[in-house]
Amino acid sequence: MKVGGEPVFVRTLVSWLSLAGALVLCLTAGQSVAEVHADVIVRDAQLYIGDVQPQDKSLYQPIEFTDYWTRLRRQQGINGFYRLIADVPLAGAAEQVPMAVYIANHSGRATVLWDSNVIGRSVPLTGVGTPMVSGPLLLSIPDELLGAGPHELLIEFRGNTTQTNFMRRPQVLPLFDIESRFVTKKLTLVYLPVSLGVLSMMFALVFYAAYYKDAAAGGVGWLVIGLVASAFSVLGLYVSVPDPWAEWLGRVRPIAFQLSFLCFWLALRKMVGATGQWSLRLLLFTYLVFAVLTLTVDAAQVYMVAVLWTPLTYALGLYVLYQAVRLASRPPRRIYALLPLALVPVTIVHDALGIGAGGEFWADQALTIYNPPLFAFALILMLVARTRMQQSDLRILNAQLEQRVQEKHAELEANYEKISAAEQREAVLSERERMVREMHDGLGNQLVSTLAMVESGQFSSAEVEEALRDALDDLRIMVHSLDQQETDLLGLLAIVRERLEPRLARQGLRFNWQVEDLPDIAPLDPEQAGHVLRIVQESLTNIIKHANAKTILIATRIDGDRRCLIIEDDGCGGGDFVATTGGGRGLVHMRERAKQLGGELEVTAGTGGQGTRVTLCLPRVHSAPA
Amino acid sequence: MVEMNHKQTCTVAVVEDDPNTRARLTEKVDNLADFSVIVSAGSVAEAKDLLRQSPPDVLLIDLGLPDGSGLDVIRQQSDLHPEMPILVISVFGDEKSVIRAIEAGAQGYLLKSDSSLAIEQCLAQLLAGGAPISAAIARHLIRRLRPEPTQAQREAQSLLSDRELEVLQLAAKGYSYQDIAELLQVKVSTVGSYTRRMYQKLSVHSRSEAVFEATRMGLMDRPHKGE
Repeated sequence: MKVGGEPVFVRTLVSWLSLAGALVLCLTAGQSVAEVHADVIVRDAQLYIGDVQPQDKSLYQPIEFTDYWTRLRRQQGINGFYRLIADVPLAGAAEQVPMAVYIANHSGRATVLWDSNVIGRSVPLTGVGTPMVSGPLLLSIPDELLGAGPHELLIEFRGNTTQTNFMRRPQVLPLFDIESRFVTKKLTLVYLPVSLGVLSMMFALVFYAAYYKDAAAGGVGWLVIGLVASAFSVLGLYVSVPDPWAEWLGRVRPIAFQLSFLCFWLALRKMVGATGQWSLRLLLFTYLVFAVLTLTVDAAQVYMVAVLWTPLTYALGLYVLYQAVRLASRPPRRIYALLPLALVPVTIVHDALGIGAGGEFWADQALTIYNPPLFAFALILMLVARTRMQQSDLRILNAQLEQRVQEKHAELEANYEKISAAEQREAVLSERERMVREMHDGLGNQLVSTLAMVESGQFSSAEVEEALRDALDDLRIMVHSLDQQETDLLGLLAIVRERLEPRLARQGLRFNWQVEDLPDIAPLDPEQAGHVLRIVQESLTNIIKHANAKTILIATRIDGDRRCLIIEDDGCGGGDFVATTGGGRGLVHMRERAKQLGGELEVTAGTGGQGTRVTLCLPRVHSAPA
Repeated sequence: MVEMNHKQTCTVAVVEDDPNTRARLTEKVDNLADFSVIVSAGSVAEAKDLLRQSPPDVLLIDLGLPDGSGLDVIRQQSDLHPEMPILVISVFGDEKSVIRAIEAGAQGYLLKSDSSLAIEQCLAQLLAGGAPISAAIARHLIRRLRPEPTQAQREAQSLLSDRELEVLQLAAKGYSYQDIAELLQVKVSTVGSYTRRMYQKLSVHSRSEAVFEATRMGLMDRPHKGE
């Protein structure tokens, strides 16, 4: 089953091209920055380590210009003050235009003096608190302070305690020339990261809302936590908090940043379905150790912890990168998901180049801090692709299942039809047999004996008529039994009554009808109905022929567990009945039929010793109460 | 209203395709006091034609006719003369055909083998506004006219009155009109007239059902207002 349609080489080509493109971009950008010329010649760059800025200039120590706020210097004190003295040779032409001092990025606070006149101090960028960001500083030089010849520029930096601060060469250029540069820097240093932070936070929430219930999207929770943590670490840079909290924010921010990588690793683990526990424990343990260290060490040591932590984070990041590439090359192959990750090496190269260039970053700031969102986007792309693939797999599976069910269904139906056709044939056959038997025993016999009556010529036409009516009644009952699928006892008795009552009435007999529903006996199938009919018919015939009765009681009774049908006459008595029929076939046949019905037949004397009572007891159905 | 209480001769139509049976039936009916056969037909077309010319007081009709079903004639006659008693002539009086006939508007059946006495009793009962019933027909009426318990909640009320239902339930158990009259303490003829009324309800009910079904199937979905 092939889900990703495009050939492998196209995907490989695309991924390598994107990587190469990113590298080219990175290098050309570095090239263009290298063209920025420094008009300021730094004459004196000195650093003082201590809490209070000394008035005595001799207390400052000379530093390398490329020096930054290193671990070693931090160990020597809480605050440090840089003192930069630069010569600014201004050409005559420059005197005609407004000039400005531009410091590409600076840290903490800076006070700028022009020929020993204070021309400005750094203030937070408008609208955004930037306590820890190395933002650009732009100060106009008053016209009256400008003149031909060299000028002295003195900048006093006050470094902060938890950030790495890089010194940059200040520039003195025409104001209009550098204003645009200032705006660009502000955008890339402030607005872009803040927007990225906010966007990734929102994206995380939307993504979570869309996928949190999707079982196929394993790891979505970790991805979202990672995104939120990375957004927090970025946004934390731009949040102004009162002093005691500022330091804590400075400590929590790197913890959040590291957390994001850990979360991505966890998300990836879920996505590839890894179960290794030792690596998980080791990573969690390391993370916790560094987090606790970051929170508890002396403020001057925070940076040291971060420095120690960084290689681990890089290693983890590279491992995540490697696993992500492997994951992306598995079905569903989503090489485009690697595009955000292609930028990760670019950021690493960028930062490495910056450090290699002696701390002078050509883009002012480390780009690696934007890596977490890149990871997150790549993983999300893969996750979405995987979820979709699983859904389509599920659809295919469902379709296959459906088809198989239908095939089975058709098969079963065919089988069922075969079987039911066979059953039907058998039912027709047995019903036909029953009819033949009935016609043979009943109607056939009756017609033969009637024919004999007519042939003998000794019987009156009334007698012949009676015999023919008997035959017709028999036929009617047969027609009825063919008409019904199944009958209940009362319906059957009613039929008998309707058919036989006129004849009985002619004989001066009447019914005493006392039937009630017997709800817990089973409905009768045609054969059973035939048995009951014959029993009743035989009983009634016996009464007509032998009993000399006036009334026939037909009643249903519930007698304990037995459900009984009673046919009783008030004629000359049971003894006669048994005497006349006991030896004959009649009673034997009736008993036989009762047995076929699963019941039994009793012949006793009628109520008060008068007449005869035939009791047919039928089995009770237990499964249907009420 | 059917004129039956006076001594006038009651007119009867016999529609039956078998000439022997028709002759026998006609003879039996003619021999009865107060009855005379005025129409005797052997096909649907003939019957419709003759019945239109001279409508009788009572119609006796066979269902299986050479050019169609007696049911058509029954429907037509019960539309034209709703009060005209119609009896189906049947060999066995099997429920399926009798119930179809009652749904079309008949009130009962005569067996071809019935004696003159039985025919006379049946006609008398009909002219007195009653109708005969068998257990199987009673069961059918209970099923058709009394809604199921679930349906009962939807339909405002059953088509049957309590008394009618009692009559039906007893008849379904095989109790005769005499038995029922004794049990319910009413006159035998009252039981017959209950039955007659229920037959009418069944007829109306099954016709409205047929109309409903036809409408549902889109056969009659173009109503014409007044035109």
